[in-house]
Amino acid sequence: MGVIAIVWCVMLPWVARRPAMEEHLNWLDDRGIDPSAMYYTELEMMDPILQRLERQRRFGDRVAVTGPATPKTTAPPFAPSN
Amino acid sequence: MTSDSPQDAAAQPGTLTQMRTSEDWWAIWCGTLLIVVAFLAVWCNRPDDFTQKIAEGEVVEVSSPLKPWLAKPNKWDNSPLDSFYKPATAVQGILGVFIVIAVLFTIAIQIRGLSGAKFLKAFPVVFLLATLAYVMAAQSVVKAYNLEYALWALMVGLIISNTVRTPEFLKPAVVTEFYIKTGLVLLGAEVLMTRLLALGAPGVMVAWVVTPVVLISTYIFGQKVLKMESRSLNMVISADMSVCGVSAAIATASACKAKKEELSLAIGMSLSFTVIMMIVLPAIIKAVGMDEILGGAWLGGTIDSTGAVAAAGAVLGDRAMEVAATVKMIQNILIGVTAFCVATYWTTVVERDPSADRPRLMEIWNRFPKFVIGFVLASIIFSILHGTLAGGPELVDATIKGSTKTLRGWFFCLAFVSIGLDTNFRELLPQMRGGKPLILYVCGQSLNLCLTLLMAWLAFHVVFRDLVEQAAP
Repeated sequence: MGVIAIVWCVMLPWVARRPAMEEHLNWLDDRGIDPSAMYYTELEMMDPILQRLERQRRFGDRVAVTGPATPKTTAPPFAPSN
Repeated sequence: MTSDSPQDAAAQPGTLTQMRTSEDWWAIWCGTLLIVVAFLAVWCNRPDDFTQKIAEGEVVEVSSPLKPWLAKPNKWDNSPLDSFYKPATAVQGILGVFIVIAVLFTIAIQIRGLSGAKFLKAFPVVFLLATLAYVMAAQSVVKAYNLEYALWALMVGLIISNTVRTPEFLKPAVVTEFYIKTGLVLLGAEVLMTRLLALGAPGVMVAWVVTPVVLISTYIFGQKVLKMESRSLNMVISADMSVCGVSAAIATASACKAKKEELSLAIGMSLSFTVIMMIVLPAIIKAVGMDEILGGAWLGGTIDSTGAVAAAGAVLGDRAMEVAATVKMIQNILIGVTAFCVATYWTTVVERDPSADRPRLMEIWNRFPKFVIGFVLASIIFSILHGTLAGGPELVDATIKGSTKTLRGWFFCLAFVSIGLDTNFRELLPQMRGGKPLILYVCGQSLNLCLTLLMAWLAFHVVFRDLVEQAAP
């Protein structure tokens, strides 16, 4: 238990403060990526993709399945349009 | 998770008695109750003019009033205490989860004819260990390398059981299968079939074709070539490697009644290889100059873990990230079909009495893991609600994000702590005999890498080339 306390309370926070790691963690946060997500519902970055798919299904507008991760993106789809 | 013999199955009590006493049925009752309450909470909380706004194409925010009362420890950088106080409602949410599970399981265990009081006495300690595992997994560096809570929950349990030994008074709350099966029924609500066609025809080619081919080929390779001693270990490794890592391993292990050590081993291997693949594969894709969409599809179809797929895809770019995550989402949804097919195969073929000509229908029913019915029904009902109800996606998403997803995570975390508390390191060693599980994983993953790349290339560069070029000029 002592080892766990030292690793999690001292070593890992120290690693998290290293500039390269801090940059990497911010990069993941900015994109809404949690690399430890077990299922797609745990990924924040899936929200705009799913919203776009839903708009496409509901209104048949020409929205893309691929493209930058913003809900506003529009382009022809891979998925069959309604 | 251990298998019953055909004789045991034949001696099982009637269905009505099982519905009152068996763990499988109680997992369905508990999971269903939680899902119904979660959905009703969202339904009652929807705006008055909800349907009208949806019909007019307005964006409507729907939330669950239960959300502040159900939570897990949050991500932290420097102090583990941050996971409880940032945001401040985390402690309240963790306590809420504790109360919900403690009350529900105490009642269920008491009605099943066991001691609810003994469960209630032991449960706070098991829950505290699960909380510790969640806090360990929530450290930002740990999260960044895909080291999921399942690993830490197992480790916490294993440390206790292999050092000071699991105290007797804790054992009534070490109900691994009950936690897993209830969690799987809740997971069923997240398996939305309406999203299976998310990438259209190319997605079907990459995810629908490759996944079952790799799963079945790897399983046959394990049985015929490697001659694996345990069919269930073979199946769990084949499924977690070909479908989507830990969540597929949990669902398949329960469907084929694998031993707890087999699930631990499969998850350990999957997480280890995922860490390597999420770093190495994007580097290879960049080095050979593969285009983003093909690279994304390859990553999505091969890296086991969902979060790691998104992280690896993002290294290549936004388009790769989206394609990778969407392919993985389709594979996530295939868990439902996989679990059902594995359960059916197990009860009709693997557990079949070789002396009987044909297995009787009643025998098959007795052996069939009933919680799979709850899992599949939850998936079908939520897929129908999602696809047909006005504002279905908003209501279903609010139900999942507001409560069922959090509870499902806690059930799995409690299950892995229980597996650790109930496992001796020595029980894990025979599973590694001859390195066969490792060989199986490496060979299966190699086939997966080749076949996914070939199918992704065919789908995105040959068969649907025009469609893709139109979408990504």
